[in-house]
Amino acid sequence: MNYPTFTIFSGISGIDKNEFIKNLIVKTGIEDEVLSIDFEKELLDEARIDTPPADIVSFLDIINQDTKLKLFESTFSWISQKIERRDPKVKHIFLNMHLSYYKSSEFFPPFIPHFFLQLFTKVPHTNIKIINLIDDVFSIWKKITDREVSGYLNTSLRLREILAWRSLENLRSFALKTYLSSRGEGTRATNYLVSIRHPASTFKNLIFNEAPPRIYLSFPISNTRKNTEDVNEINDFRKSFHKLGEDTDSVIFDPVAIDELALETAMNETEQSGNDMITLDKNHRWNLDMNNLLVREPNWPIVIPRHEIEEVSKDIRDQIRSRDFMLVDSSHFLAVHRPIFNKIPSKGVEAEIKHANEYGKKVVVYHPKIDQNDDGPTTHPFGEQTIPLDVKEKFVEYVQMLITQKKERDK
Amino acid sequence: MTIFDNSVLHVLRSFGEIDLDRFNDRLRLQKLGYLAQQFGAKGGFPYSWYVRGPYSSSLTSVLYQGDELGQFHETPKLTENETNVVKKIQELMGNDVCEPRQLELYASVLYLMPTKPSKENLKIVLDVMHQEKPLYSDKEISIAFEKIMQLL
Repeated sequence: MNYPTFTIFSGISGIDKNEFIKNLIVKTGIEDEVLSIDFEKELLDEARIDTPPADIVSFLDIINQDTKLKLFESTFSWISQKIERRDPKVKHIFLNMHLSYYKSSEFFPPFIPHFFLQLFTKVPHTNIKIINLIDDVFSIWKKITDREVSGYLNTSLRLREILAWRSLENLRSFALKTYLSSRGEGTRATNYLVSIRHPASTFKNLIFNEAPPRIYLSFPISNTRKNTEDVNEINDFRKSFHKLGEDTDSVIFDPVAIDELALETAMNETEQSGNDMITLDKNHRWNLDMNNLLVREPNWPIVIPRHEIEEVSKDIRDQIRSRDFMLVDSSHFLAVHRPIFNKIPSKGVEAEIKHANEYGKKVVVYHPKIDQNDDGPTTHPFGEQTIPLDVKEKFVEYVQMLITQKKERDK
Repeated sequence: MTIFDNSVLHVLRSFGEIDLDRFNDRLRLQKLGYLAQQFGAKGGFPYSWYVRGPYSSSLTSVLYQGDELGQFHETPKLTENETNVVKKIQELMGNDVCEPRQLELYASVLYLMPTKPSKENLKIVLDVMHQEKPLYSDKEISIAFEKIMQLL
């Protein structure tokens, strides 16, 4: 018997997850083949219990922890029944949920991965994928703030709180994957941290293919982001690889699909020096320059108190590094574009290459002559385990060959 | 050096293909990995007690990564220490070296043994095994205990 795929979309509040899933279903044309479950909708469903909480805020405001947990657990049983009664046409099950809630400085629920097990008794041989969706912290901040203005009271969050919540959600995704895997002495269960601003093809290939080739794009960001010409050059590389991913059913992880350095860029602008409120415009963020995204642009401009940005600046820098390493971990190989852009070595790219090498991943580097020292060595300065190529076409061909090899191996 | 240049993984590969599709194969790898590490193979995989005895999430993760990257295709050349570990496991398990039920028994008994095992400790191991793994008889547990003691 063929069981449907099972994908859990986790992620904190303030991300357009519902819109994202709706667009993903439409753009991939699976309307008739998907059972899409929104955990919160089921939790509040009047068909399930006589007097459900009016909304999620009322649910979180229930004082008795046992009552709250009971409502939460019983939702899993309800969803489990829905899965059992699914239409035979269903090939994919999507479960959209927060693995954690945060309100009034309190997290909920306690992490009880056991609740999830009943869902998989209905689809015993499915390859479970947990996709923890993330978005730019300022975009989430803006969404939650706007919601507050429209009457969704007592849910406003500082940037620092959003980062902390996101970190917990990420930990829970990882813990859930580890738990689900251990129940079968290492059953295949995977979790990915993915920015919601990746193109549809990244998600399509990640979700619907059993074990797709996964490629991380590595390129200098800090040194190039202020020069439009450099950004355009890198965007050409990014776009050509997203196209390659689409054509070869591969997953492309793009580090600028999340760009929180925009906060620092805006804060450090001369025009905003001394301002208590910092205005973020679209041009502060790395221009994604892609038209097949599954969510809309944030509601620009975003005006954030300076002290909130200052409070998280260091954490954001630290998180960029650890997040990019996680994306490297999730990939099979790295496609590196001009690590010594205009002869300036990128420390971030160097660290990613070293990390990938340590984990046995192939690293293919486009290192053109214009970035090489005239009298310097022809070997790549980042170590012997990389494959440096100075002709762009050869670089792309090499990555294509790795994709083909991976697919052959998996047959 | 990559994370796959690891003695426990070398020992596992010397016992056959790394296959992660079936439950029994995964169980076999987990328990052999535990025995290898306890017998002196350097792996750095933390093990904890789970439903089927000692289990390591870290080992699971590395096995999947290596499998996806095609790292386990060639049979590794074993070091002297790794060869000794393989011999010890073979000596302990005999013809049952690929038999999941027996591997679970031996790995579990070894996990439950106090740091300095003695005949008096058998009672503790039996008590836990009765609770956790009632499918094994006292005789089977005692034999496993004796054989492990002789090898340690």
